[in-house]
Amino acid sequence: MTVEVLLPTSSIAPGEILARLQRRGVAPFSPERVRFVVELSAALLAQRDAPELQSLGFFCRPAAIERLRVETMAAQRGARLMPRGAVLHVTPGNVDTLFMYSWLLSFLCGNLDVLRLSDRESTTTERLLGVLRTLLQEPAHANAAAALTVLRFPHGHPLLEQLSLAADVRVFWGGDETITTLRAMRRRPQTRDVCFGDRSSAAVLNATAVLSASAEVKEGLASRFVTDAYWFDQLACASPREVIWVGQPAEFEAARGWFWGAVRQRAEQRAETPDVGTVLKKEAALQQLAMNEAPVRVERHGPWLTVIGLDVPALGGEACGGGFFLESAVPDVAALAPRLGRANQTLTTFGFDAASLEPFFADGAWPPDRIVPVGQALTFSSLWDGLDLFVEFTRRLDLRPG
Amino acid sequence: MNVFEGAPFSLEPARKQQLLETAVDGLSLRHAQACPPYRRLCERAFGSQHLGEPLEQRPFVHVSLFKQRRLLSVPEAEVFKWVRSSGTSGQPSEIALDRPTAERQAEALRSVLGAILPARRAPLLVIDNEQVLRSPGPMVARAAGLVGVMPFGFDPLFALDQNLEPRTDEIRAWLSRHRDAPALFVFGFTSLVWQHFVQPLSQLGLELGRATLVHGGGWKKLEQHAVSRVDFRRALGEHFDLHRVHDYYGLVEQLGAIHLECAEGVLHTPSFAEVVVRDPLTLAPIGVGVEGVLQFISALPESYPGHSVLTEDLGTLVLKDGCRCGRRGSAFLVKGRAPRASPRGCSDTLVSA
Repeated sequence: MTVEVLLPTSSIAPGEILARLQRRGVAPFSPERVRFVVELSAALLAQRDAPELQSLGFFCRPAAIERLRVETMAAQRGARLMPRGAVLHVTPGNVDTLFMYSWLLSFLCGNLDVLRLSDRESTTTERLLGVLRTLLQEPAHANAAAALTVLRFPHGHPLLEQLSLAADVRVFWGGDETITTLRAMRRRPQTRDVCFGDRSSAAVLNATAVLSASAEVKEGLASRFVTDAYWFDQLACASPREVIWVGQPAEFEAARGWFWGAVRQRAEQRAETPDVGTVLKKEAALQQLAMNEAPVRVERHGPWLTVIGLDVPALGGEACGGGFFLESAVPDVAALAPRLGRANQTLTTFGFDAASLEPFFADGAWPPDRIVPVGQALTFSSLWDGLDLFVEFTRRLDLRPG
Repeated sequence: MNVFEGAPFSLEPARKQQLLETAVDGLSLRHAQACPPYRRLCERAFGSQHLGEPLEQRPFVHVSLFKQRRLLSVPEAEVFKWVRSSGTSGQPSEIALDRPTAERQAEALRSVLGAILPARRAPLLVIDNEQVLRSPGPMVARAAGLVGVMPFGFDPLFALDQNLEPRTDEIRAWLSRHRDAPALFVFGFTSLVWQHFVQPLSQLGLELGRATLVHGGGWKKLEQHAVSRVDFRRALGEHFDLHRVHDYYGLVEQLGAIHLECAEGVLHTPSFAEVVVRDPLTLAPIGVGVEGVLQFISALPESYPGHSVLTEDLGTLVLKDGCRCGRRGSAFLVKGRAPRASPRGCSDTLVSA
C-alpha cells in the first residue's frame, strides 16, 4: 500500500502531502496561473500525434482562457471572488484526459488541488503527466508546482479519507456505487461535493435535414459523430449510446441507410480495434436485448458497429462501448421530450434550431444538461452536468464595508 | 438417434458430426418452441435456427445470459433442481434441470468416466469437505460435480474437514481399509487438490499408485501461485506415486458434457459434445492452432437452451482428430478467462483494487 507522488515531483514524501493543502490559494485568474495554463496549452498543442492532448491544449488556449475570465468576472454581480481552498479530485477509471478539465478550472480559480488518479495507467495519461512534470520543474512555475499534487495509491488506503477531511471541495468521478462510497467518507461539514456520476447521452438527428444536406455537410456529420462516439471507445458519459431520429418513417429509413454506412466506414478507419472483452460485452448486450419481448431489430455491421433498433427511445441503460448503438425514431420533438429524465446528460443534435427544441422545456419535462451540435459531445465546458464549475470552485464574498 | 452411441472418445469424426447435428436440430426446435426468449434470440440475432447446417453456423447463447435471466424450456413445475455456478465473478448462472436432463447428464458422466475408471467401482476419496453438499438453496456447481461422481465409487471419504484441513488420520485409516483394493478413485477441485491435499500432505509418504485422480474447476488460482500443469503432475507423481491424472473442463451450463485431459495434456470432447473456436474480433469460426473464444455444443440440455454456449474463455483447437493418445475427435486447450473489457469511461474510480 504505497503512495506514489506523480506530480509535481516524486521527491515529495507522502507525509508532506497534507501539509501542502494547508497553504492559501490565490485570486482567480491570477496572472501567474494564467501564464502557466497558457504554456501548458502550447506544450499540449505540440503533441501532434496525440489528438486527446491537443484537444485539451485547444481548450486552454489563451483566447479561450481570456474569454472564460471575462465571462466569469462579468457574472459575479458585485461579489468578490476567492478560491474555495483545497480541492480533492478522485478521477475516473480511464477517460484519460477528461478529469484534467475540472482540474484546470479549479486551478484557474486559484485553488490548491490534489488528484488521486486511478490505478490504471494509460499511455495518454503518462504522456500528459510528462508534459506537466516538465513545465512544473521550471523555476518560473514554482508556485504552480506548490498548488498541484497528483497521486496514485491503492483503493482502501487511509490517505484518501485524510485528504477528504482536508478538502473544501471534493470532486468525484465514477459510477453511482463508487460515488456513493466516496461521498460516505468523512469530511468537514462545510465541504462541498461536485459529483460526475453515470449518465447517458444520445444523438438526435433530424431525418429531413440529413437527407436534404449537401454531400459535404453529410460527410462532416458522419465524421463528427464518429469523433463523439469513438474517441473514448464510446464510454465517456457524453458519448452517444443511442441515435434518435426525428422524422417520418420513409425519411428515417432513407437517412439511416446512408448514416450507418458512413459511420461504419469511418469507425473502421479511425477507431481502435475492439479488444475481446469489448467484443464479448457487445455480444452479451446484443443477445440480452434480442431476447426481450419488446420488438427489436438487430444489425451487426462488423466489429466496430452494432445497431439495435427499438420501437421507442430507451434513453438509459448500461454502456458497453466499442460502437454499440440503440436506435429509434420519433415523429417529432414533442414525442421525445417526455422520455428524457435525470439519467440523460448530453444530446448532440443535427438539424434543429433552438425554437424547435422548446418541447424539452415544457412543464414537467426534464431537459438534459447539455444540448450541443454533433461533434461537440466531448468538448468540455465550465458548464457541466448542470453545474457552473466556476461557481463550484470559488467563494463569492459579500463585501459591503461601512 | 442415440448420442451415447459407442464409447465417448472413439466415435469416428464424420459419424460424430452427423449424430450431433441431428441432436442439435432436435434441441434447437424444442427450445425455440418452448423458450420464447431463445426463439427471439435465434430469429433476431442469427436470422434463424440454421437447422441442418454445420455446427459452427448454429446460433449460440452468450454464457452471461444465464446469469441475467432464467432460461427455461419446461414448465417451472417440472424443474426438480436448480444448479448455480460458483459465481466467483459477479452474478452466478442458474440452470434449471428437469429429471430427463439430469438423467442424460448422469449417463454422459458415466460414459466419460467409464472411459478412464476401472469397470468395477473403486473406493472414493473426495478432496473436499462434506458440508459442500449441505449448502441450502440451489446446488452450487462444486456440489453438483460431486453428486455426479459419487456413484462411481464406494466407501467415500471426504478428505478435508470444514476448515479445509486434511483429515490425516481418517485418510490413513481409509487407505489401510482398502489396502487390497485393485484401484482407487480420487476426485476434487484442482485448487483444493493442490492447496489442501498435495501441499500439506506431500511429506507423509501416502501411497496412491493405484489411484486415478480426476480434477477440474480451473487453473486460475494455481496460476496465481505460479503452479503449472507440469508442476501439478510432477508433485502427484513424486509424493504420492499418483500418475493417472485427468483434468476435466466443463461448464455449469453444460453439466455432464465433460471434456477430459489425456496424457498428451489436451482436452478431448466426448461424442455428445463439441468445441468451436471463434475469432476474438469477429466471432467467426476459426480453425486449428489459432487462439479464440471457446464455444461448446452439448447434446444433453433439454430443460434449458444450453446446447450451444459461447463462453468467456479463450483457448485453441489443437486437433480435429488423431491425438497420439488414441482418442478420436477434436481436442483443445483452455488459456483462461478473456480479459474483461477495458473499463474506460467516466466510471469505475474505485474498481481497481
